[in-house]
Amino acid sequence: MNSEPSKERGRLKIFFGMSAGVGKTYAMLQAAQSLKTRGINVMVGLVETHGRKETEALLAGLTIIPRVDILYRTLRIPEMDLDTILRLRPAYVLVDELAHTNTEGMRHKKRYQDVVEILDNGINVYTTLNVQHVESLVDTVAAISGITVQETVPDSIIDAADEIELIDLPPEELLQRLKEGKVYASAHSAAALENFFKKGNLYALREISLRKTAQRVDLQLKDFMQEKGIKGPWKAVERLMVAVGPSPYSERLIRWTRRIAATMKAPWVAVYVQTNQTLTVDAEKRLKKNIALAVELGATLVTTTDEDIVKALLRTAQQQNVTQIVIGKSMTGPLIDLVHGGSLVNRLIRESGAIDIYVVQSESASPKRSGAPALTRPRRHSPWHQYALSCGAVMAAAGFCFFASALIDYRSIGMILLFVISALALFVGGGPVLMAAIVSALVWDFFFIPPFYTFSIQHPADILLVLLYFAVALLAGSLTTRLRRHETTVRRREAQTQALFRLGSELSSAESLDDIVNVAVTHIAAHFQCSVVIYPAELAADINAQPHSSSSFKPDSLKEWSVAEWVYKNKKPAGHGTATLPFAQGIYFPLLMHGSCYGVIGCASVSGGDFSFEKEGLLQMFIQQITLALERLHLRSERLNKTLLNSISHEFRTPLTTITGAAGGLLDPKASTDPHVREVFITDINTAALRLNRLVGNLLDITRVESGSIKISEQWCDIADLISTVVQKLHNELAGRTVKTTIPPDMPFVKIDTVLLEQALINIVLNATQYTPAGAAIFLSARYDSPDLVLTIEDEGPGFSPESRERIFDKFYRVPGTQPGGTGLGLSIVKGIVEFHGGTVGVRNRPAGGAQFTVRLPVPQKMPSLTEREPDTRKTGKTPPMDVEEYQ
Amino acid sequence: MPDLPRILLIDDERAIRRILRLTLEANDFFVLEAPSAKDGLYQAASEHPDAIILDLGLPDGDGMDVLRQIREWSKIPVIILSVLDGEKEKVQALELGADDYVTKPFSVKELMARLHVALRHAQKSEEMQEFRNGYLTVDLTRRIVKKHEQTVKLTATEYALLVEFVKNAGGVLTHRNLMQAIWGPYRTSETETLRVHIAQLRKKLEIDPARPALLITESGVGYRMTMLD
Repeated sequence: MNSEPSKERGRLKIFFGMSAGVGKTYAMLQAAQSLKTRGINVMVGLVETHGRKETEALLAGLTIIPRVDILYRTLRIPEMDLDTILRLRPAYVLVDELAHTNTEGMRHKKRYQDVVEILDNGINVYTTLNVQHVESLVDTVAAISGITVQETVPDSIIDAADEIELIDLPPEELLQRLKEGKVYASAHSAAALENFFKKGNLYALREISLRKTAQRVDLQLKDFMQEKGIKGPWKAVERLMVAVGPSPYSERLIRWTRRIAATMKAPWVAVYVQTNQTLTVDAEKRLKKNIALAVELGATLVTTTDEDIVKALLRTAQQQNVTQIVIGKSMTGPLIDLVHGGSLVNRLIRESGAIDIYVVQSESASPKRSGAPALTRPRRHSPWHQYALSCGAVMAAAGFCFFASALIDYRSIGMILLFVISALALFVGGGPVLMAAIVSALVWDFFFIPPFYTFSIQHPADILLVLLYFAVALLAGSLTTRLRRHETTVRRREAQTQALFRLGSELSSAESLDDIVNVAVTHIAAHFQCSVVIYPAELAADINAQPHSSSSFKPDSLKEWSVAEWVYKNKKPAGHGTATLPFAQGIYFPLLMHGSCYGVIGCASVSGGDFSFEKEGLLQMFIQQITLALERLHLRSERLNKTLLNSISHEFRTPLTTITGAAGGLLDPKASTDPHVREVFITDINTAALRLNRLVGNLLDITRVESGSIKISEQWCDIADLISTVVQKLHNELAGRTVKTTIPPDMPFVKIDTVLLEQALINIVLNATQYTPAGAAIFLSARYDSPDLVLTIEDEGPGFSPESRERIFDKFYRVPGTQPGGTGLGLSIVKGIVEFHGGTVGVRNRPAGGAQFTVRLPVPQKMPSLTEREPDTRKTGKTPPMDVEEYQ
Repeated sequence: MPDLPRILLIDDERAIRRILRLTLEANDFFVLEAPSAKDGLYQAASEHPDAIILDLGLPDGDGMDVLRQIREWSKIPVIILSVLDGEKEKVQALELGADDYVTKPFSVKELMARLHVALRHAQKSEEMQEFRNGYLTVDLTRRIVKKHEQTVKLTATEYALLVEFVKNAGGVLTHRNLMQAIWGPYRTSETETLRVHIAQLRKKLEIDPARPALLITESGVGYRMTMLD
């Protein structure tokens, strides 16, 4: 880095690009033109325009130093006139194509050497360079594009540049320019370079050039930071990966990787490969601690599942663009190495390809295996009865063979025993199989292989046989056990996928916060054996102090809430089993998606224990799904709010315009003298005001229905009275129409909220008056179809098309092509009210034409009783007999 | 103009007060205005109005409290201005002793009708001998009810109900008002019996019982006998 300003030396600026044609020369000339307008002496030492017209135009007005012809064999080749430049001493000189190789016979072999000389003479230089000419990148470029570049510029020259300007152009645009002949004037040269200008190549080259520039910026930043004593950020070239496990040595490995990554200024990845081995409780704890350490030290955490650790590591490395993998020296014992086809380290080195492997001494100088804590439960403790079963099976088989030994020879008996071992492996664990193998081998030898009743063996061939028998029994046993374990893993994973899928599908049909919380609480509780609490949050506000009412975990203290609040504020998990606020009963996670936090979810394990690493991972996935659903809900309500605003603003403005217009007309002395005109204006104002009033009422109603703040106050109601009230209230709207009401004479009283149901009926009837021609009849009927009250409202209008029929109850939906004036809220309110009563409302088209709305409400009924009670008989003298017949 | 009835308007909205003042003055009333609860109570006591129009939403206090305080010392007719859907509020005000209510936004015509009814009730102190309302005649001394000059047979309860309506003709009666008047103060929770009797009464008195025009339902509040003609 050239941080000390050298007074004599000129400044070097490189216009840097990914390939020819991105516009480096053009940019350089533009810069020169701007220098010139500032009165600075700029000269063109050498510029290759390649016949590009725009570029040539930019040369106008600049002093061009003529090239000198250099004689090369029989050719005269025009080259830059270095001597003239040095003699003229302009403030700036333009030198195109820094990587150019000079013709033999010139002072320097390479043009960059000319440039260095110019710079040394105190002249500032503007030059251009393509990425493929950078010496350190030549190999990379060759690997990508297959083109080996001969003309290179040493990195030191580039590093010494005072300024590098990256000229970037998206590959698509470059290809377009190429097609249009803007890059190469002659079609021939374009065709020649066709191989080079492939999109894939261009993308790669672009990335390399961007990275190179970024690296430089990074270095500059580093210099600056060192000066200011700030710790530097990472540079994005190398990428390290360390395998993390439950081993206590893993921690050392993590720290080592972090140290190396820091010196290399490289980002690093911590990978945990999950196998189907069951970890001990201690190992689980250490694993979580190690992973937390890695994350804390700045690693990106990746978890992957595979039985083959090597495969998993390499796969992850490729996915994460890792360049170097760090592993511990003795990750496994020699026996397991054998089974897995060679030591893990060796396999990793063999199969890693381009990725570098660091093998680090991970254990202390004198590793004592016995001292190392057990990581996995020894193949799961097989219950004692499995041993008994194995033993019994072997004995039974031996007994059978003993009696059959007259008929079959001892070699066949060996086969029979072998079969028993293999069969056992299907049912029992590894330990019992091993035991059975040993026992059966001994039994076979003792009882069946001559000489009988002794462990010695007569024929040397039989020794081999017994050994082979033992090996095969072990192998068969262990293979079967592994297969079974594998199957268990697959099944467990399948169950997880299923659980996630079920959660996802139920969440996708959840339409409200309540639905989502219900689904979340039920699923998490069922799958993780824990109780769940959810604190929803309004965006940009605090989380609710009260958990959602559906939460199954009811925190009894403010402590829990304060943990949730911390989680919400810091957007990090905390609580039980974490490093933050571990005293809490539950573990809390933020419901975080795209930077927005939709609340906090807490899980309190029923047993009070921690979640295993695997369970926690799955829980995270559950939470992610839940958060997605919340986000969807939020977006939907945002969209709805927008529709609402649009609709409301229109619906309010229309009557307000009428009112102000008519009022203005009345104020106008000329217009207001005519009594007829006055009346029209006044009627208009009145109508518009009523419309506004209806709109406000609707909005209030829908808000109440939506927010669930309706309080049902049920009373015994006479439906006939209710319907007549509806008709009476709408007498203006129903003017000129026939309204036919049908109520059976034995209609019982029903217990409902009269005011709400009246509102619902009014809305349906009003809807009918708005969408049917004037004068069309409306039919109202009521009956009690136990246990439902059934109300139908029919009209003689056009009915609904199938698509409108589906959406008619949606908020703000209005049947296309209907007259203005409605808010699209009336029927949504109906639906809200009816559903609040636990009922349904549907619409269909009548066979005779027109729409038929049917409201069904499950309500208690009661035949009205007619008890006469006279508090004061003095008033009447005697009680007249009740005339029951009259009431029918 | 010494004999004009004096109306006290308690409402904080100036525009509403102005419209009411203009309309009331055009209908031969003398108007007093109070923009707050405090001022309203003061004027109710000092200016001896003949009726009060009271908005329930006042900036410095609950209109319900104003009503309660007025009722502590005066039977002066009070008409409540209530907001949309305030059924509970209306019932509460009526049971506190308000004479009637109109729902905002109200029509001036409706308010005038309510005001006239309330004033008439306040003036009427002597026993009524006979009541006439359109086609309906009630001979209160002989307990004879006639519809289009035809005698209608009513049960004792029906007659007692009708008398309540007659006493408050044009005014609203809450469910509780009616039940207390008929069955006394101990049976006020179940309204279905009342509804049955009202239905019966309608059958006997209405021209079209399916479209009641005489005894109309005030949803969530009670019933009202409209003045025909």
